[in-house]
Amino acid sequence: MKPYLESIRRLSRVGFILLALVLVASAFLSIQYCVAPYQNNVPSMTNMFIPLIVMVYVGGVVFAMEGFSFLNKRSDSDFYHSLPVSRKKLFWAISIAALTWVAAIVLSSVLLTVIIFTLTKTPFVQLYALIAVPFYTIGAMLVFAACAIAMSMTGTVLTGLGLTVLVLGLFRFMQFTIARGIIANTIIIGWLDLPWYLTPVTNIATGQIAQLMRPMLRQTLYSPINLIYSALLAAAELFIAQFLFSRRPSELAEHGAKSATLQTAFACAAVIPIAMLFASKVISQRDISIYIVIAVAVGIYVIYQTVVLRTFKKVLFSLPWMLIPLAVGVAGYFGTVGVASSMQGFVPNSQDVAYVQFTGENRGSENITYQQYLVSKVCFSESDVKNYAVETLRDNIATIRLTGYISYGYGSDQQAYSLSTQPVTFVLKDGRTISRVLTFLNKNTLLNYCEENSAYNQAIRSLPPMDAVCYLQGDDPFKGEYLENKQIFSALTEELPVTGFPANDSYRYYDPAYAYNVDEEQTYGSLSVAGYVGMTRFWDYYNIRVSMPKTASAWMQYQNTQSDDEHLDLMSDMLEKSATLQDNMDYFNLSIMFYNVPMSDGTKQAISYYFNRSANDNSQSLNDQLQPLMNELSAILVRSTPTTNPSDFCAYTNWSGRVHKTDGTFYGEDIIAELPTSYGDGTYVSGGNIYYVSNGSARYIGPSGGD
Amino acid sequence: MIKARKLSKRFGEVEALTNLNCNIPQGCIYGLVGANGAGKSTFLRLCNGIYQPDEGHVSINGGEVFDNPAVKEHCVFVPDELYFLPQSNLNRMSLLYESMYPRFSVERFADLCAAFKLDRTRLLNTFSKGMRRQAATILALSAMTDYVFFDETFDGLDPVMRNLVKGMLYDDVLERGCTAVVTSHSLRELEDTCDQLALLYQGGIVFESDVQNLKTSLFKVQIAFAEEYDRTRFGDMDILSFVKQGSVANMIIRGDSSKAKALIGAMSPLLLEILPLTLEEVFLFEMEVAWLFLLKRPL
Repeated sequence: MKPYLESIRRLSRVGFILLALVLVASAFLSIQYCVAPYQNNVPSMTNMFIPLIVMVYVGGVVFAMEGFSFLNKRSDSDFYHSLPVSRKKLFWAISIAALTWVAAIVLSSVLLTVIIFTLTKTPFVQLYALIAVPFYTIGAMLVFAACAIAMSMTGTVLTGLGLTVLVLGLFRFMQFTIARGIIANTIIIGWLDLPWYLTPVTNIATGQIAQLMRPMLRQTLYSPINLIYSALLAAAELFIAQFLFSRRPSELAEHGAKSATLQTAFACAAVIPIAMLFASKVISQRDISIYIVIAVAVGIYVIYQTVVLRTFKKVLFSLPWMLIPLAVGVAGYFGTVGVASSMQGFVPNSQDVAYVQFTGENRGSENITYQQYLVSKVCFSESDVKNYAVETLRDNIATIRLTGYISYGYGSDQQAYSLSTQPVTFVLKDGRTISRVLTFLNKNTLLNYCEENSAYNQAIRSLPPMDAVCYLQGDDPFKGEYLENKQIFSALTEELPVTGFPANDSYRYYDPAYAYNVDEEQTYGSLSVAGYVGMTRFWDYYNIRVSMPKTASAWMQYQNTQSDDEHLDLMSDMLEKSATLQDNMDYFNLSIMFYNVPMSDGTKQAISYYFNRSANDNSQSLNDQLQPLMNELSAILVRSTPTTNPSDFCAYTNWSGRVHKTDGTFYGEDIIAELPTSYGDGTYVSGGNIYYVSNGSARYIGPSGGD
Repeated sequence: MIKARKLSKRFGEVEALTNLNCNIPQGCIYGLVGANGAGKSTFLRLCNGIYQPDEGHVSINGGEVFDNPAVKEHCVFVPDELYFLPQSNLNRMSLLYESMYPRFSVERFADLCAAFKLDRTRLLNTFSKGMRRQAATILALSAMTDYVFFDETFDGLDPVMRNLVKGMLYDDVLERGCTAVVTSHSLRELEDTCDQLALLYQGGIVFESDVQNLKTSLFKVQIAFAEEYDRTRFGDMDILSFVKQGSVANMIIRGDSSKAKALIGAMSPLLLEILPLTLEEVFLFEMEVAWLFLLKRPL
């Protein structure tokens, strides 16, 4: 216990510094996120705990470097090894003290973040808070263990850091390159279809880097199996580090490695990642890049060996060893091609398939839909679905082998295929699971077969329960702008089952003659809904059509409530003035959507019209001719009354502009409130411009206020 | 008791210790002398379990030292190059020692700090080299171990502090039966301090002996005869050195000085004077003998 407490004390210097930095960063970033004026989605775990991602690496390395710093200096190493405590006990005292500090910092940061989110009433996935503590603690301990192994094998800071990178990343890089090679060679296997052991996020420390390079991997990064595996790996690496630490000669301090042989082994290990590039298919195996890779590998090897061995003769004699990493690279290449070919060629018999699952075409996205979440859990054991999936797999493979890629043009009837690309998981009766990204020739056939499954039918027509919803139409729920949207969502929930359509349009049948703007298909807008179920976040948008009159009416009611006659007058003034724009930067855009326009064929249609003017107008004469008509239209709009009946012939306007008055001031600067500089959907309006939404209320005014 | 048997340690191609054998009895102050690179520090590090022997073994009270806390808790080592925690003071270091050494005495630590007049709250990196050495000595002596190893510790202390440390060491040896192993380049330093001395040369102990015996085992004889004479006249006497200038000869003889005096006196010399040797002279002659022995040793 005493050595442990002593180690806690010894690590307290860096511990308190890191704690302070992480807490300050956590507080700053959390407050910044929570007070941002426009949110439309629940934050991801990465968004919530950015400082802890840095902590995984910095904390792991810093605690190991501080805890075992004595190994790098002869006098310090001698002192610690003279103490009456076994090396094993000393190692575990330092490691458990580091674990204590890491856990304390992670826990403090998570608590602070949760407190800030709770106080500001910002929605977040509560399970994230629970999982974050073990997740980031284990991640940091993986880095710590790698660094401890490195420091037990070397005696300088530089070689310690270099070897840490190798211990931590060499195997993972090989895993990554092999995985990439398989994906590139098979074409029908994506990052989320790889066997678990090939997924580059199994190690949650290096997985953080992998998820930055391949964002879709975030979907699996936080899985419990990765957490358990990483915990076991961290424990195993710590035991290896302890073994090496116990046998480490004290005299190794201030030396790169125990022997020249070990130095050469380090050099070979450092070259392996470069040689492994062959396997990844990043480089072509035919062109000059193969020679460049070999030259770079040899160059790094020679430089490393020259630095550590110091004599040209020794470097020369060690050169044959370089063939080992090159051989690993070549073996990696052929191994990857072989494995990829085998994986690609595997087609199960449909009678051997227990069921198939569809994980959703945008499964790698941060924003999957609620319906996709439900559908991904449905097990399709219907033979039609299984047969169609197996046949498609066979057909996709044949196409790839024929052309080198997925290529479908027209069917035998010269009609274009209605392709649907879907990740499919085959669960075989013997328990095996294979996942492939399949391109189905006919989306409607697939949907038709899927609809044989009642769970699927229910899933695609489900809307998220209200208690899972955190954002409606992007409004912050705590700012009191929520209730009208809630009414729209309630109406949607009530009316959707009546229509019989899927909640999300992506599950609708493909119709080449589909008219989106006719009769009941006329769309007034869309309601975005964001929330979470368990640890799964969803982000949906639902089109509000005439076919759902109560919903459409609620939508119109909401828009009208937000509108202001003063804004419409302003629009009218600006439109009139737009005929004589003087300033080169001035412009005016008006879009009008007319609904329920009676057509000669008896249908009612939605028709849009756009009118744009600027000081440098390219269609000056045409716009001049149209201007009186537009002025008249504007006058009609000003005279008209708001409606909430979706069956009415009505208009919906959306306008923006920057127009000088004759006195040099701008139209609207006296009535438009100051709003943030960033619009939530990513639109950014440059300084001085004024942007309006359809209801005429200002969404943005430039940083110069009245400019 | 510290026992080393066929103790060998190599650093790459350098043989630091080769087949070293020695016994260091309990309750003595044992001095190790030797030139730079003789292996003194290596021997102390092996005794403290810092290094693992390549061959042979070293034991304390019958137990192997390397990675054996049960043995190491009886040993404390004050190396030549000292270690202190970064940004620490004596109080912080005492916590470290207290957590590692089961018999660490806080009272003694306080007493020693007072005796050495060291500020316990002052950062150690602001101490002078000598003060840092005092601090390390205080911490080591407060650990109350049975074995204390000083690697050239006294060399960096001023005479007053040196005497103070020596006094404390004597007390520990006498009162607690503590054993101290001290290395130094300065024979004069060890001459006054140690009970036993060993000479390390090229990784091996050339000889070890009780200081008192050592001082009396060799003596210088100044002699002159009326007639011509040479070395053979003294028969079986163990003469290490014989230098004759004119009729006067100077001899270094190993053995009992009173017996030698009686024997030579019986030869009726014109001049006979028995002179004691300084420890330094004794070592020089012993090393010369050792060197000759090594040269004659078959390869």
